[in-house]
Amino acid sequence: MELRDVSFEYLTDETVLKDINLDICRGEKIVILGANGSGKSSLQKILNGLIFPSKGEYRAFGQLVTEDTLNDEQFSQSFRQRIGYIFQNSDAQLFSANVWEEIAFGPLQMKLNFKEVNDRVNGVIRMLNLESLKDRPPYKLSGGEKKKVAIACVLSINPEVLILDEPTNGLDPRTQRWLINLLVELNKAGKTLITCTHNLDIACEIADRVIVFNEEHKIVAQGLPQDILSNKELLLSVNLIDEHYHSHVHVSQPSKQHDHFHSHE
Amino acid sequence: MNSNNQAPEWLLNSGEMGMCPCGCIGKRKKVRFLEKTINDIAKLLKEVIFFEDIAFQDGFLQKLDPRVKVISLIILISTATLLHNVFILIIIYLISCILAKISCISLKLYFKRVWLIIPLFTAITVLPSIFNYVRPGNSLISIINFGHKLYLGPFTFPAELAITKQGVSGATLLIFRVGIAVSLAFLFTATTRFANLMKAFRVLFLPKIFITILEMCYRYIFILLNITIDMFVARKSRTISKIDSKQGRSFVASAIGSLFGKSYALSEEVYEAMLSRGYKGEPVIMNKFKFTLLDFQWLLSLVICVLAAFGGEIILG
Repeated sequence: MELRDVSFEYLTDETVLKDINLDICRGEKIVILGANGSGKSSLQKILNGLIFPSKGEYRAFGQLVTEDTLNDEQFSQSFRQRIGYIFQNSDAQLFSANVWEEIAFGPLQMKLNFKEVNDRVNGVIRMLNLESLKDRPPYKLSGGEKKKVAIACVLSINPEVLILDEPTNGLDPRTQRWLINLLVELNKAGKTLITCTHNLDIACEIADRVIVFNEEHKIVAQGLPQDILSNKELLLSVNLIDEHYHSHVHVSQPSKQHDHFHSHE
Repeated sequence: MNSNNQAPEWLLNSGEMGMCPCGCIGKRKKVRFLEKTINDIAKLLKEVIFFEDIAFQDGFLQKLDPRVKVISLIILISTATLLHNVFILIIIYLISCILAKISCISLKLYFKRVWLIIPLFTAITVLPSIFNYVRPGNSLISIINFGHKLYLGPFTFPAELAITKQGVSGATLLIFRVGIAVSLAFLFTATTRFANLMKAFRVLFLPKIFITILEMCYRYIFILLNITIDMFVARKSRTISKIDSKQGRSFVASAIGSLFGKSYALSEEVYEAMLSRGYKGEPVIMNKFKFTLLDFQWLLSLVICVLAAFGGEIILG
């Protein structure tokens, strides 16, 4: 995926993204950091082909992505199949009558036969332990369950790239941990992860590379998570943290011992 | 906290008591429209969720294929509206009560849902037709005798205003028909999950897009109701003194505006979520309905009952 000099504005003179140049390789884990309103979500929507750059160009899997090229049925189907987007607001994503149908929506639009749809849906339901929820309508799900179902309905399409907008928002610590483990596992299986988050504590675990946006809607830094997260000056300058910020680092030992240490400057 | 965004001093003091310093007992306020509205919305929500619960029970009608139920409902309602004999209509109603009982619907709820409201509205609608001024017939109860014919513009009315036999029997028949049709509709819809009911409408050749829109409407009504309840509750939690009706009206107006804005934003996001998962304007939907032996047996007995009802009508006249 390549973005070249991409700018985007919803209204004239209200720039949301400015001169973005970004390359994302297959199998990479990327975390996008930035203060509220810095343009992270708009970037994700461009990557998912939901909105289109006002300037510059976006190429995915070697092909130019524009409104016009997405009108090509074959390209559109393969593009949608290869990129999955998990919205911040699960309610927007869960529009079907029950969990089973929600998970089946994507595979059905891909025109898979009913047996394959059945196999995929049941496989994802088993993997994410959603058996008890499969007949429930979305309004009877808790926040964590909604997020699980939202993930399930994107995984059933089996995309190569997963775009996640604030995935840990509103989740309890246990569900957050479950989600992080799942994301790491998916990445190991070869999926590319592009995550927007404010949760700096998880960035290390779900990122090979961190990209930082400033409030002028530009990318100001990118690099290894350890380098970026330890650069307090940078994070302060983009208004992401205050001067009292400190990080909690989780380190998993191969011997399955789990240590926490706490640093405060 | 730096000096620029320091909290004002009054915010750092412990809160005021908010009670009258003389220690008098406050006036008890009446339940106003605000609370009433919240309660009504919450009640509606609960009711709809409750009826989904019936559809999840392990009763007789729940086991039938939703497509068979839609066809059965149409056959039964057409039969009920074509029959003239009140006795046969009562038998059909009693059978529907048995069906309700074996489908885990409490009879109390079954009666209450239909007979408390429907006959009332139907009765008001048919009330004029029981009088001889609207529908001439044999007098049953005489109400007023004016002694001479009444002339009202181009219309001439008989001297006696009376309730007629034909009027009463016509009104009773109509109330029965409406009551039974609504009871049957309630029975079949309450025992079918909304989503399945919508899909079953495909047997009536409803377009897929129409069914998808209906399903989504049903889904998002809940979300919008929840947002509405949240708005009312948030308002209530900040309502300290009495609100006059003008303020109340302005709150409701702004709540409507805000809800419209939120639903618009949500609809855009939902569309994006659908696009992102491969939606191309024509949804592909799938149903897992199976026509079983039980469905066949049910349809057979239904046809026999309907034929018997029409046979009875011919014999009894």
